[in-house]
Amino acid sequence: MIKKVSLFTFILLFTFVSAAFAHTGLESSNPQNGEVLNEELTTITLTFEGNIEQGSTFTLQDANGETIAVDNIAINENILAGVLSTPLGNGDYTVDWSIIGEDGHLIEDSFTFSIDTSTTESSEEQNSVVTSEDEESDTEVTTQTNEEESEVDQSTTSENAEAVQDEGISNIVFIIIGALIVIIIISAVILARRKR
Amino acid sequence: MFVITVISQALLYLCVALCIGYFILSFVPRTVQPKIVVPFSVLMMAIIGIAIFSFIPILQNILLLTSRIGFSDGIRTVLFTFQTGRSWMLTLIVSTIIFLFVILFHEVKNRLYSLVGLTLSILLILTLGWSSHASSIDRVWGFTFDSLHLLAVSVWIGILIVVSWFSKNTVNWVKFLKWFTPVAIISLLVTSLSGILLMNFMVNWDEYINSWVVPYGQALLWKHLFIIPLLVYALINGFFIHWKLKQFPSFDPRPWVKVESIVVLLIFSATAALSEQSPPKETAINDSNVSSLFSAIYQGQIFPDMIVSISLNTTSLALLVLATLFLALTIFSFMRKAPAIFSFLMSICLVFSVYLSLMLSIQ
Repeated sequence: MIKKVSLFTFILLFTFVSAAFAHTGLESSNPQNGEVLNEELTTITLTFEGNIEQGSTFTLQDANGETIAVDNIAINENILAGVLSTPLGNGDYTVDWSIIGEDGHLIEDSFTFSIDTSTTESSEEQNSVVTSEDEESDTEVTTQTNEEESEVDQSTTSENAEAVQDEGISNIVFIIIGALIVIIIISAVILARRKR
Repeated sequence: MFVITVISQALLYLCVALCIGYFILSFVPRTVQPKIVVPFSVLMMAIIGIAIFSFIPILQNILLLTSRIGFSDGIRTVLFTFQTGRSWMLTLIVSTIIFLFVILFHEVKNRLYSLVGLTLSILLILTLGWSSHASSIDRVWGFTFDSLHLLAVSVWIGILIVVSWFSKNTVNWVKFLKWFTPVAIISLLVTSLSGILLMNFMVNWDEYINSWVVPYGQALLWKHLFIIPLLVYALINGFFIHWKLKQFPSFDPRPWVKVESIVVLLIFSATAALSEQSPPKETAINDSNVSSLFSAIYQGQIFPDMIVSISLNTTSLALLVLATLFLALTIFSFMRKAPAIFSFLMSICLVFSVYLSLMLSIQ
């Protein structure tokens, strides 16, 4: 039960903070994770912390999960870059990358970005950008509050569950300690009885 | 696949140590070592083993690329463009040379033969160091420390394994210890120093305890814990044994060196497990990479960027006391001339108690 609760809490927390902590291996990217672009995108560049090997690649998917063709995926030391043959329309996109480091280890992860070209057309619409940004930050605040609330909820539930679980684990630990003591006593007796 | 890779890497270290140990002992005069017969087939298998076991991680890469660009392109890309693939080609070339060299000249067995064999084996270690993780992080120092670590451990453990498993009698044992003990101590110092410097590439000092959350840290912890019984047996086999041999000249020290070499095998396995993990420095703690062992014992919540610290409590203190008793029993078994396997079981309990004590003292 506790496992489920903590796992759930964990997933919950993780989904909220995923943008906040560094993804393994990836140093930076263009576009960045979570970036909203208001201009056309022609190349996607991923810069890694170390050199990557041939065969490293990435795929691009739109919000419907459809794969979009990326041409000429090229590897140059620690940079993985691909060219987009057709401009991307407005919407959310996911880049799934899968690289092989110089030590031969496979590392995989993904990041997202969005395109919204409608916002740069006129000053009127630029106003709307501000509003929409405001709205966005509003929603962010609400999500954060939600998050905090759910965190509080979670911690109270899991504390209760933890108390129950703690007894379970400490019982096992006591059994183990008991067994170790028995082993020590038996071994000591065996050794003491041996003739030198 | 993970298990296969770990086993293959542990066996790789064993084969390398065997080669180094064999050539060193064939170089050292007969008068200062027991009679040692390493079967020709064992030597051959060790050399072939080096080429095969070091290929397993390469094979994994080839299979991965096969699914992307096809088998033949996959092989070509891995063997000719990958850092690890190219170093393996060197490993293959050097091990083939050693193989042919041993077939052609093993009947001669003079000092030149041993010296050339030893040089080739060291070359082999350099090719393995070149493909290491540390080497991919820092070309110069990563490569140097990794090769030095492997070489120092192979000198010490290689001699130990060959003497413990392939000696036909125990004559000259004291004379053997006279030169082996200082060699072992120097090797141990070089191994520890290069190991600490290597660790610096993978784990930040202040995050050592934190790293226990991820599989790499768990493997590193187990490795470090098994060094406790290793040092205990090194102490027994290097120093206490002199009293025993004086008291009972017929005493057979070999089971005790065998036990030491089995502890080493466990350390090799832990090392192999870490070589297949993402190092803590490059790993952000998330739900997909928390060690299952850690989450099974640690009952608190695990979350990204968590800080792990330890502080002793009653349970962990009790386990430390038990660990001390197991340590005493490990040595006492030797004093009482109990079977070496008995002492080995005590030392396993010792490691287990310390491990549990540390894990349960996590806050």
